Amino acid sequence: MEEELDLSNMTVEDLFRAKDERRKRLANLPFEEKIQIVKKLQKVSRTLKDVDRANAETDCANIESQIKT
Amino acid sequence: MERVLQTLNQMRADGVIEKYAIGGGIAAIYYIEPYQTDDLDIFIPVSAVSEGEAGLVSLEPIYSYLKNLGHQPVREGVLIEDWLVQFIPTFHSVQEEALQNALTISYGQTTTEVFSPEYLAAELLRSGRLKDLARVAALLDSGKVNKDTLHNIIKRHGLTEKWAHFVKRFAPEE
Repeated sequence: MEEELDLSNMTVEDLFRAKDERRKRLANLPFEEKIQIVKKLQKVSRTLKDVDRANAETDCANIESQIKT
Repeated sequence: MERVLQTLNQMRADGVIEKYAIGGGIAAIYYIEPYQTDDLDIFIPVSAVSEGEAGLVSLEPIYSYLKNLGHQPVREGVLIEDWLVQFIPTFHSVQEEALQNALTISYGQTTTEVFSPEYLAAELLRSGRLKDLARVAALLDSGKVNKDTLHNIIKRHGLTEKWAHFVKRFAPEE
């Protein structure tokens, strides 16, 4: 369980230190766990691309409809 | 991923490739924090590829072997399980040496080979895209790179100028 950060008492240096510590913690994970994270990131990326494509199609349809009217 | 590595080991056992090693983004993730990357770069000896039409390199022997196993070519690689695997012949001397000096690691119950951090950093430096250079910086920052070994590789493979540009741009602590 990760410790909750109290942002009200944090300095910019604390934030950078926390970020650095997180990076080091992730770097020290077993390779298998890192690959699981990569798979999750790939899934998120694919979902975002799908949403983006769907939005673009909707936008195109709206523009076409506005042109017609 | 483990099944992909098992397939690669089977290719080696069947003599399709004499040797292989993981390089690129996934090799970097072995040493540093995970980030999003889509493909698995597999470096193979030049002897594993054949010369196709007009003297162009052909990965046909590899693709044909994998196709027989039901793995289809997709874009610039082959889809094995749910990984896009890209086979990269070692045309550059640093790649060739990285392959020869790859480290044996375990993934689950399977052994595989991965570029050492020093050779990986040198190859990424040679490649030179911005994202490659960012990975070189992260590798150096990880403390897993022996800097004397890296400098030796850089010197022997004519990467001194690229290193100088990298230092100027990223200013790693020397």
